[in-house]
Amino acid sequence: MSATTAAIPDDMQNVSGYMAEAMSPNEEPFREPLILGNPSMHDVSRKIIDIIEGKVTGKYLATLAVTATLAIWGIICTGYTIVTGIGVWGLNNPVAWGWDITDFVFWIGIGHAGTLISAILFLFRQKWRTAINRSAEAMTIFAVICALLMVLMHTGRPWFAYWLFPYPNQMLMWINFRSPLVWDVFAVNTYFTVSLLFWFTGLVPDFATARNMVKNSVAKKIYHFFSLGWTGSTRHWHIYELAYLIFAAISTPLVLSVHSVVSFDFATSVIPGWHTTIFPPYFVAGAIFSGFAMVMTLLIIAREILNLKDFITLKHLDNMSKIILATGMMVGYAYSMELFIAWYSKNTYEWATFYNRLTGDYAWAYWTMVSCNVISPQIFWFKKMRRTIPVMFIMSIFVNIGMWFERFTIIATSLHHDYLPSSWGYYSPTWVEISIFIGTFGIFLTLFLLFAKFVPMIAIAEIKGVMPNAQPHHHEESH
Amino acid sequence: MFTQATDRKIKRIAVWLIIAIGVGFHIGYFGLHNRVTDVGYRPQQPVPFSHKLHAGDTTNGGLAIKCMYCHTSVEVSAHSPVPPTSTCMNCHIIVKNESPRLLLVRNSYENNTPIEWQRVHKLPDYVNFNHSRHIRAMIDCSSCHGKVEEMGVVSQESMLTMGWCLDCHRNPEQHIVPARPISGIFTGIKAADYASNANIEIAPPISITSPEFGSTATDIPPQVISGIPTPKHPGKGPENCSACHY
Amino acid sequence: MPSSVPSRKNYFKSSEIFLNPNAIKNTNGGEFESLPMNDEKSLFDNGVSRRSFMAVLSGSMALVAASCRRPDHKLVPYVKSVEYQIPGIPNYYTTVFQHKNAAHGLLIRSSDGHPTKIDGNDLHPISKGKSSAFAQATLVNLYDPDRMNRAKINGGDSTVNNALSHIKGAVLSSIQDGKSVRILIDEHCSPTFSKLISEIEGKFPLIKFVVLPSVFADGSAEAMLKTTGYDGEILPNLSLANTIVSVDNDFLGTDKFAVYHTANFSQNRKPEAGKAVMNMLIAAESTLTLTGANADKRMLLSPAETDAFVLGILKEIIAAKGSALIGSDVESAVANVQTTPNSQFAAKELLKAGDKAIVMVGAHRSVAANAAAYAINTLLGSIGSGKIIDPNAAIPNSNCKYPAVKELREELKAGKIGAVIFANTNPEYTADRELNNLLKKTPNRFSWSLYKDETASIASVYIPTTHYIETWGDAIAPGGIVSIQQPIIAPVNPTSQSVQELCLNLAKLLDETFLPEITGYYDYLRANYKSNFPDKQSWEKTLSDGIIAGLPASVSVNLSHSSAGLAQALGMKEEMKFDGLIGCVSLSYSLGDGYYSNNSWLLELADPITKMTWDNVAVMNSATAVLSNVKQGDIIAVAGNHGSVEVPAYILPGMADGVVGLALGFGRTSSGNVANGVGDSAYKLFGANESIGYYPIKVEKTGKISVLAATQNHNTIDDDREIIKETTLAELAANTENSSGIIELPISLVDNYTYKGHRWAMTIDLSACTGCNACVIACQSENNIPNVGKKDTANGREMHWLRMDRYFSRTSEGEESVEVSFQPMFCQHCENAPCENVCPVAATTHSPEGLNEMTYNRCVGTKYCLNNCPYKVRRFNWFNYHKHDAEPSNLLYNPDVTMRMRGVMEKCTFCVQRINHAKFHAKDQGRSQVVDGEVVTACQQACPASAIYFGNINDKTSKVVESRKTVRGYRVLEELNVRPSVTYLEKVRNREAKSEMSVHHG
Repeated sequence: MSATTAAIPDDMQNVSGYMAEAMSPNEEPFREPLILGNPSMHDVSRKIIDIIEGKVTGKYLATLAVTATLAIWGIICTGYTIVTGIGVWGLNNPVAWGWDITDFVFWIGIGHAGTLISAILFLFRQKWRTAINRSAEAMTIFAVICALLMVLMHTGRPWFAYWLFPYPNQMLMWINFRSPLVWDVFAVNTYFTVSLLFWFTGLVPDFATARNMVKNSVAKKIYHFFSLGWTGSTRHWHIYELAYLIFAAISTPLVLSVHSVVSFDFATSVIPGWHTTIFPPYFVAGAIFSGFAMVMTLLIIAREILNLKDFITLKHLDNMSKIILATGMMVGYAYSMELFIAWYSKNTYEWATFYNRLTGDYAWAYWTMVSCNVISPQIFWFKKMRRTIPVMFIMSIFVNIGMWFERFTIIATSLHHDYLPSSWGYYSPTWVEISIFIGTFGIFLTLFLLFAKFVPMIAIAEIKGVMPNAQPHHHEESH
Repeated sequence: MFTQATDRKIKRIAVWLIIAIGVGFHIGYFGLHNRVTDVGYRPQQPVPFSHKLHAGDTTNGGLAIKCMYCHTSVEVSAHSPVPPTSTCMNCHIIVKNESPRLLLVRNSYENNTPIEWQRVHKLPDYVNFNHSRHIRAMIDCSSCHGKVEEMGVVSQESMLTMGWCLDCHRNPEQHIVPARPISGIFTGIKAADYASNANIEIAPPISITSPEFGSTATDIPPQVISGIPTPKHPGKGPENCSACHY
Repeated sequence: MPSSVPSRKNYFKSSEIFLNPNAIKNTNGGEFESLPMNDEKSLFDNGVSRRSFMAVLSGSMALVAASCRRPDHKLVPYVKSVEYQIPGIPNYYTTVFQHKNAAHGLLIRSSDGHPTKIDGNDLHPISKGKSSAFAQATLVNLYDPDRMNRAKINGGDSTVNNALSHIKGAVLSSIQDGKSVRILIDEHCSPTFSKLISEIEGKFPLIKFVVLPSVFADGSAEAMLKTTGYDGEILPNLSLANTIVSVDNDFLGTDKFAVYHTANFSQNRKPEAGKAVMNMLIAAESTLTLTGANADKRMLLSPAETDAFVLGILKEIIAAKGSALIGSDVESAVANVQTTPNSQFAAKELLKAGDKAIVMVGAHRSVAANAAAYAINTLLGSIGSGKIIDPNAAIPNSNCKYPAVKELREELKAGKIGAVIFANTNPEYTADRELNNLLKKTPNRFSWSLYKDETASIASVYIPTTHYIETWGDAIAPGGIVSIQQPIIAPVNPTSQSVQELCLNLAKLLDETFLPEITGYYDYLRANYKSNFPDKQSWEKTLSDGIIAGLPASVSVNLSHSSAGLAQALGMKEEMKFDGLIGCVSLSYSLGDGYYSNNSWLLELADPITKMTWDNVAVMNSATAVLSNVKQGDIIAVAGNHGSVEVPAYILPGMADGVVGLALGFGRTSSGNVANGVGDSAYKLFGANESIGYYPIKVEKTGKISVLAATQNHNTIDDDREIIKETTLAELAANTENSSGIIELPISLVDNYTYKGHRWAMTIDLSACTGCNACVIACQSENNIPNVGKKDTANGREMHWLRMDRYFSRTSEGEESVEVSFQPMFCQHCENAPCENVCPVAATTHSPEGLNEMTYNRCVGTKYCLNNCPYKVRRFNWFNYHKHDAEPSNLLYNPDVTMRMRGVMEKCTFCVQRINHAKFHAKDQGRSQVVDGEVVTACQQACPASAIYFGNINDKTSKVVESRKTVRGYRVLEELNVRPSVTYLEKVRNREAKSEMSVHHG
């Protein structure tokens, strides 16, 4: 026991050494620290492992109870839909996709920030990511699980959904590779698999730490299994870092590809309001936008409930606010550009659709989207706002709402008024679809809470790497 | 990267996982799809009727009654119906009219209550299989039903799956059995006359062409069997969905 | 019964393959155990690919597990095979449908012994191979599970014989105490039934038959009676007319002969750039009817102005032609009539056309107006044999109906009636309150009817009657063509009997000496035609033809009018003094008078004008709505002098100010589970001797709001999307370029597919189409399309593969002068189908013959194809809509078309089942190509206007190719380069100026 605990600092030397080479040579001395309260290496491990070992607080249990209830309710409604038929939803002839696909795109979008934070920011050596990347990746995986549920449920015969996979069968039938939905199946599944492996790889050393530190024998066994016999030897660290780097490299293009492919569902169609070349970048920006907002929501809650103020500092939140501001303006640009092109193209149907978005039956959805996604984030121009927790929390919620409405606007509003006025209609959801959407939130939050309790939710090894005393020239600076 | 122990552990788990998934998929797929699993289905019929006896070869005690004698309308209709009781009674009003095995048949005939036969070959309702199309292409009954005249109790010979259909539609020359005398299709001679011409001359095995589906299949001049024109050679079958699903 | 009627017992068994779950498969061959089982071997003889080999192995492996799960199906053959009955091959039988006194010759498809499709008999002069939506939909009532299957005495079950003898007792007793018996029958046109009636009335002086129609329209008959002495109407032949002035006469819509009129009318509405000639329809009306919708010039008249309008025309005509033909006292009758610009315009057009012109006034309007019309037609010379109004084309039993009913009233008041029998009549629902109360007072009331209807509930004895497809009979059409009505199926409900049968049996019960040699109505009918068809052959020939030409020798009427009578008739104007709103009560387009209301096809069939389903609405224009301060969907109480109805308000352009339109046929309370409580009955507004027409009403809001189950809602299109194209005759004539208007877009990354064999395509002539909805029901019947009910229709989930799109366009002449255009919309079978490449599982694909195929059993229901369809013609099964099909309504369906389950997409297939059968037939004859006209789609077969062409465009001689050559041709949304296979031909209106399409409504 003691031997292994003693081993940790040595490993850390390796890590910090590796990190030290990797990071830019001249650190500005006045840059504010990423970890507050200047804890020792051991304190860090202790503090994070304590979350796992420590007693479950009433606050935690209460939250879990609520989310679990929502999750179960959502699952019940799902079952009801499967048994009765998809007609229990509000969908109708012009609008055959409504909340189901809106939610799907919404959740996929949420997932993106996770990969962005863990992969891209890692490749760019953004050290501030270390505190949040673990939970961000977790978020990705759980979000994609919700997305997959929605996309499965939106089929009229979910029990035949396996037909969407290419496999040899007695019908001698192949899937239609021209269909964007098939691309989706591949894209999303790849994304899910890679994210999962990436996440797990990052977890291996921390499972080892947990294995070493937890008292409970059962927990020890489990962590022992998942730590894959990690000893922390230099060889392990080298292989680990290499693997981590490779996964980061694989996931990076996925951040762009997945949501681009999702946007093809709409961009390759003939429906005005869907048939738009701007969609891929527009969707990716939107995804990162909403993803960061969700990360922010979760972390603000997490640092309150689990008391991680020292690791998830205002600086992290500040940086995220900046990204939200930037991506928010990107989607804003996309909205205006869509509108401009619709007008400029002089295409009757195109313009009719967009005019209808601004003024039609669903105008409220459009303006909700604009005010939440474009107007309100402007507040982040002010540093003070980027550092006031309540403001950031409310903003992050706003953005999530706004982004949900963006997808709703694109899907429902384009469908309910398309080419032939004779087939125009209006769509409003039933309690079933609403319940299922709420249910996905339940599933998502439940999984996240469980993750926070049973998995080291902050990358111990990495965070040690960015601690002041992990820097080689730390002592010189200190006096 | 791992310790030996874990390595082994992982490998073992992986192998078992793969096996489990493989078997699960196999059973799941072929087991749960009834229509795939019906090969060899051989229910007992209410009346102990033997095709071997009625349609079997005369050399070993069969009566060599042509299929078409009972299964009429197979040339013209989508269905090849089970004959009405009256068809049985055509002969059995005299032949073996005391036999206890035929009690059910006689009752049916007298009380006008139909015999409920067990169905052997069953396609899903969304498949529009048409017997007459295949018969008129000189495709023998046995191509799908096997040598029924050698069966006591009829059993399902072919899988009757979509893949099985398509195999034949794509390369008929590998699967089709040309019309045989016993089936009695398109020899143009009434069933009654078969007794007199037991060994009526039949066309040489048909040269099965594989023209592209569309129009050409029926443009080949008809072949003549003992003075009676038969339908065209079987070409490739259609492969588009609405040929069978509508 | 002749062999054309398979015995019901056999038929049920033959077609039924049922499931027996608890039977366990037994592979033990019993005494045949010794025989070898040689599956594997013979399988390999046939040569099996590796994949299938795997399948067999694992299959037979899983067989062990699966063996007990294999559902145990039974095969149930006939006991004795039925003549002409080959399992799987439908037979076609002719019969005739009596729509009141209008005979519609029908051709009925009988699949494995049960009728599955109704179409027109092409030999019949009225239907000419076409059929109305109404006639086709009566098939639903045949299999309606709500039909009573037991006779009832005082509510208790009984047998028909007991019930009849019970009736006999009552009849005898009332005859004994000198009271008479009345049998109330519906309008009919059956000579044999008339003969039977006269024989019975001759035998039993106190028994009398009274025709009690659900709707009275005596105006024209009475005008005829007054002027010429002929009590009846004449069926005009519009194919000869170049100019038609229709005054409140909906001959294309609610008329009993609408199919006949539509065929004749549309025949002259297909002008081409080469020969730009077509007839002109001028419609003067106060509500927006189908006739008005198809008019070239529509005049909006307040009901009170009608008489003046027609008389005004008469005055103009007299001024032009003199009154020599009709006598001078007519002149004085019209002397002090003010002519209006409208009447002058109409007169001008009429005079232009000379004897090729006709004025038609609604039979329910005043005698004066109808007489004036007669006078005008006489002056124009359009009356006479070989002319539009041919005295030989007298409509049978079209005499005035009021007198007999008035007499009945008096007798009832005087208490002279001892017993009354309601034979397929439903006064409790249709008649006015006064007559009802009188009828309720009669001591004995008996009901013979198809359903246990409202009247049956006030009758002491009820006997179920048969559907017309189940009974023998005959019908005579205008022009004296008799058709034999033969049963296509033995009564689905064995206890039911036809009214004729019941009359005969009752008469025989009352007096066994009555027609002793006749045993049943069939004998009576056969005896009636014995002289014409002595032998079986000629009789069966007649049955298969469906008509007996020129029998009896054509019923010519003498139309020599008396000038005095005419003048007197011209004086009989209707008193119309309205100070408030005017209620206009008319027949429903879908349900007619409501006799067949328990019919989901008809209830879900969108009204051609309002597009409403599952409800009747109070139709009014926006001004009227504002006036009485109601909004779209407000449930309002429309109160007349005799009753009030509660219906939702529906705001519709093209209505006269202050006029509120109401449809009959709804608000049944005792018809069946489908129709009960749907809408409210406008019959309640009628007082004594009142029927369809105009009545003063008051409108009050009830405060309740209704969800309007309309298949199309109002949407203003104020952009230039050219979905429906219109032109005028003048423009067409001016058009010199003689090429099709279709743009062939060259844009394609890959080479175009070349269609080797057939290439199917369709053309719709919007100019001929009148929007009568016959195609919609034909499609539903042929393709087993389910109904979804009111709630889902309101949510835009109706399943009709073929929908009738309705567009309004405003002319420059102001707010209410709208024009209506119809566009049948269904799968366009695009060559570049957007739906095909988005389906992830390839469930919708393109056939080598240009069809866009939908494979239901492959569909997983992503609905992506529906989203990506620019025409939104795909239909999704949101629920399992067939789950609640009760016996015997499951026999309604076409065995050639798959029943769709929930969660799959469906759409128009161009009737691929018919295409395939036609190809089979061609191959059997050694042809590789189907000849033109061999494939007829269901919609095409039904279309009375013959506006649909379907065929193979690789056959350059085909009609469809011909029809696409015209300059009127265009394809909807062709700018998307989806390359639809359906070509639409521009609608042409016969007028000079270009119609200004300023505003469209969807």
